[in-house]
Amino acid sequence: MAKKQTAGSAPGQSKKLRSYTAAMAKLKPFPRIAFAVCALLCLIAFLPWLCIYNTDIPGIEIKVSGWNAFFCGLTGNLTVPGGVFGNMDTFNYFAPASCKPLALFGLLAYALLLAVLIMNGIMLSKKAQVLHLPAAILGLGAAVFTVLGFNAANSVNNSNILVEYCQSNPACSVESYAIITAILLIVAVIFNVIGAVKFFKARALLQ
Amino acid sequence: MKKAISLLLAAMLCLACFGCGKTRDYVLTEDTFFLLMTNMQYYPEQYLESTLEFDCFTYELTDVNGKSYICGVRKSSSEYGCTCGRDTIIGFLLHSAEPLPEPRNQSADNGDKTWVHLTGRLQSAEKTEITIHSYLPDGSIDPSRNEVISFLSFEVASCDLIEDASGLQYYVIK
Repeated sequence: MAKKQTAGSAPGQSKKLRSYTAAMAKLKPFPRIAFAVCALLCLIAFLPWLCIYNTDIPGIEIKVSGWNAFFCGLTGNLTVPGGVFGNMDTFNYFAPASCKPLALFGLLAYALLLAVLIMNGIMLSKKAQVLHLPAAILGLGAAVFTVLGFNAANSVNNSNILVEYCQSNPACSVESYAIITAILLIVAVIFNVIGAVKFFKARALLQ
Repeated sequence: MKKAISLLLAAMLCLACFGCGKTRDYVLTEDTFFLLMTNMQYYPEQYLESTLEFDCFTYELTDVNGKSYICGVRKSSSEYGCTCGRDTIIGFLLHSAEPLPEPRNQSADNGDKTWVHLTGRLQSAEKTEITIHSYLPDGSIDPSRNEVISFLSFEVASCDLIEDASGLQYYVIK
């Protein structure tokens, strides 16, 4: 009897296993794409989360990049001299009420982004597809903090920076591109969510 | 991967320690002059313990009451960044036990000035407000209009005359 059962279930289990293996193989591109998007986000973190355009010099006059916000949030120091990462010190002088949350949200967003990057890296190297769901959750958190950072950056408009720094120059404007980071984060999250759904479906095949 | 995460965390820790604000001295170069000088205007208290070293030209400011002040400055745009406004000077009021080199060619809008290499410290984080007559675009003084400019005071420890200032920027920008 026992022999009969084994003989009857072995092909079924083998079929399940083959289906599971095939389903898992289809998961490969998802962490790869999510990892690529996160890596791209780390690069475009040099773009301004907050910046001032002016009339008589081309491009952006001063800016706070994503990394600038991250490092200021990490160190808690918003008064260090400006450098390649940005000029948080200048913005903080004129609009401290906006810069403190900007640095905090920058820190949280990029800390989560780095975590998502690492998770997708682990999924790529160790094939630990179980990490799709936590990566998606953390990615969503990063996107939320980025949107909050975008709001904080735009709130600089309510400060007196346009009056004092720009001397009421009508062509002077405050802009933020943090929303691009948030959109790309959502793209990464979508791939992780699809990956998570497919992973759980694949696992269900074994049951 | 563990190694990569450890390295990342170590790098973050180093950056955090670096940003904790250990007292340090500053030598302002042509690349850092504007950024550090503007930062000093915004947050002078974080430089009070530091020795500062920089090149500038001497400039005599006379207020509306006829009182004169010797400054060490460079030319820049007003509000230390926005090039949409008027031009101004950026630097310090100088205080020295020794006589400082006399400013020269002050009315000319060029770098042919008395350039000096200064070492010293900020006296305090307090700014001195000086009321002067406004300058017209042609460089002449308009006695009917006044403006107030603020300067930090710098205690000069050493002052060396610079013979060849050809490599130094008269007008500093970011």
